Amino acid sequence: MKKRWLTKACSVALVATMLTGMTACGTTESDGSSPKESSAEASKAEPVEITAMITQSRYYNGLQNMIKKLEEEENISIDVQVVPDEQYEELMKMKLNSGESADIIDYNIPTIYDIVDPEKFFADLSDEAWVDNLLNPNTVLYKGKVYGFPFQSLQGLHGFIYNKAIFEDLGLTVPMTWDEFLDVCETIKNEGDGIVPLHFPKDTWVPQIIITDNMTKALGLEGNAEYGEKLRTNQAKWTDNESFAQVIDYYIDLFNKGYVNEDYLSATYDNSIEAVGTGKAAMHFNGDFFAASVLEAYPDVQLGMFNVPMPTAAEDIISANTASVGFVAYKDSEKLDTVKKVFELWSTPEYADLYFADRAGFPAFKGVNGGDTPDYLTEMKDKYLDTGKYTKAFDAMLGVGVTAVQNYSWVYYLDAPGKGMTGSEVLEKFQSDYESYMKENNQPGF
Amino acid sequence: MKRLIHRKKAGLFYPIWFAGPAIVIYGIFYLIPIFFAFVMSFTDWNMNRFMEPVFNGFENFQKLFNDEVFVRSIGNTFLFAVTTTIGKIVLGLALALLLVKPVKGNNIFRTIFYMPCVLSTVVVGILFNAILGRDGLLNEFTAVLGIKPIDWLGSYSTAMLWIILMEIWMWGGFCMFIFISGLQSIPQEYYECAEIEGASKTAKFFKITLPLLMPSFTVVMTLNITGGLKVFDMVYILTNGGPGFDTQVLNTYTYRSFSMGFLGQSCASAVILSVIIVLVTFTVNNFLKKREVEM
Repeated sequence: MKKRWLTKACSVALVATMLTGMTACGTTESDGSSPKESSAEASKAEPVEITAMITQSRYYNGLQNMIKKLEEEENISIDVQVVPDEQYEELMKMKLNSGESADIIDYNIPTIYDIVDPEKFFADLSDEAWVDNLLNPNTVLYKGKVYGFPFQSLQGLHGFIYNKAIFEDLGLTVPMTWDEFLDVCETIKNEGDGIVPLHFPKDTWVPQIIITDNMTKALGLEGNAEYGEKLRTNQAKWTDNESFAQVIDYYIDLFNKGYVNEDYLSATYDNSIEAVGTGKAAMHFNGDFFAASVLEAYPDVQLGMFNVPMPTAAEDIISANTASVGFVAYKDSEKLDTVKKVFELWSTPEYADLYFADRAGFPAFKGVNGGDTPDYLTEMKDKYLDTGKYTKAFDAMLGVGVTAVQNYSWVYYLDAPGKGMTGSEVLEKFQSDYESYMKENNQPGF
Repeated sequence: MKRLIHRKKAGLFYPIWFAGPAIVIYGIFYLIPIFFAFVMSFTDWNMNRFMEPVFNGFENFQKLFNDEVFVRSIGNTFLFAVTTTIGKIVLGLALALLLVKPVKGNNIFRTIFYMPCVLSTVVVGILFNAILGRDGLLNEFTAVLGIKPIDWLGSYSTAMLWIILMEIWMWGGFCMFIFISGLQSIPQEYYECAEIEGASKTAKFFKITLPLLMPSFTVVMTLNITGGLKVFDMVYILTNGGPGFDTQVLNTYTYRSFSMGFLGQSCASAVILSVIIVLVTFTVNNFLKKREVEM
């Protein structure tokens, strides 16, 4: 009797196990279905949570809306860990090295490949369906494989963003040469009733842009990548290229002539936005995203953008941030399937359009609406972007050396005008820090 | 004999049992990290070689002392510790002498002067950033007097001055309370005797108050010197070590080194700071203890 009961119980258990297995297979199959189908079945799906590490300054409304939509329609929630920009990189490295990483990590793609070994830490996404829809697949490749999910094909163009009303009031036209630019600054300084010609904040990542941009222009479209590579492998020194020092001297000259706000050592990035938005300052040098931020805060202000190279430029080009804001997936994540599903959904216009709804840009995927090109960008886009007269800055080739650039040279650039340093003094000082940093990180050639 | 040993063991059981958890917590969160940091300070531990540190002797210490920013940060740390300690003692003592007497409303004043040290440093930092900005309150005020606006946090001298003044403003009230309790414990008979002998107020202050207040001085001085050498938050929030690297102190230097991935070097910097704190604190404490007077 007992034996028969035991046999029956075992049979029931076996059937139950098989049924569960079949259901599981069914679930696996539905995972491979299209996003639309999975949307329809979302109400039935079990809630899943993944974790994301996101830079504070890039937790845009568009991204927040995409996360909200995922939760509403797919029952996938994202536990977002927002990290202050200045602490982000090291925290990310620490979490990855200690095996406690978030499931997805926000960073510039492909810049992250220089900072962290993608083969060791990130999931290979080469076989994902969305890869075929990328407009510019080269930006996400590392040794022929895809390790990052991008939102953009291009992050932004660099140039002078100016307040049009100030130019109109003072009868100024957009300068075409560096001398004309200095004349414009002089007029604003003398006739502008306290208006500052050029506004820089104390945030070291901002004033360096005009220097890096002009060093890139001095190297030209051809020499740019080559020189960056030489600096990375210690075949060239920062002090070798005379035009680098001259670029810094031209920059320092702007301070000496009184064209820059006097409080550049204490003003914040938000102060720059406010200064250009309210007309306290006429110009600012940055990526075009600065103009978007000014317009977010001051929708009525009329902005323009122009490019004026320093006399050191080899040709009339602009530098652009060709890296994209995006995510990488942690290789050892237990929820890698969910992460892949999220990326698949985010690559569709239904989601990706949300990213660009508030901030127009250059989408990474075909069929995504990046919004209309803003007025301030039209001329720059036509003249440089559409004609291919743009390049990424040479320091994008430096690999881990970028950290040294950010932590030393950017500080020196900000410090130099007040301390009476010259361009060559700045570079000599930095060369020593750069070598020491590269040696410390066992970089080949150092 | 056996019973005696057993009783002795039983006597030890309870103290060990009760101290156990504290020792474990102290060990895990304090002693082990200190020991670990000490060991790692002799390695090339780096964020990019997180799991493969290699012993490199005194290289980290050598690099630190060859780095002009590090040497400058030692100077700034001492400048901050000494000036803020003096400032807090002078302010605290002056307030204590004013408010120790049972005057009407002195409790309200004591609360007002104590309040800054209850505030979060972040809040105070943001507050002072608004005051010291180019369009801030201070420049608005000086403009009324016809003085040109000054970028208070834009040059070493003024930035360092304001970091020091902020610290004194925040913690002067705390010192005031320690001095008040010290003043209240001085027996009134000494002053009455001095009064009968015809001693002046100054004589009473220097011959009675100050010597008998030495235990309070020991406490205030030790706490402030130690706190001053460990300064981080005030500098980080107000200037973040800038302009340039001008206002870096040892802790902000250590933090910066750590955030750049130089883990071994930042451990070495932390070890140097710890050694400085221990040496200075023990020396100051011993010096002042010898000068304390029995009441």
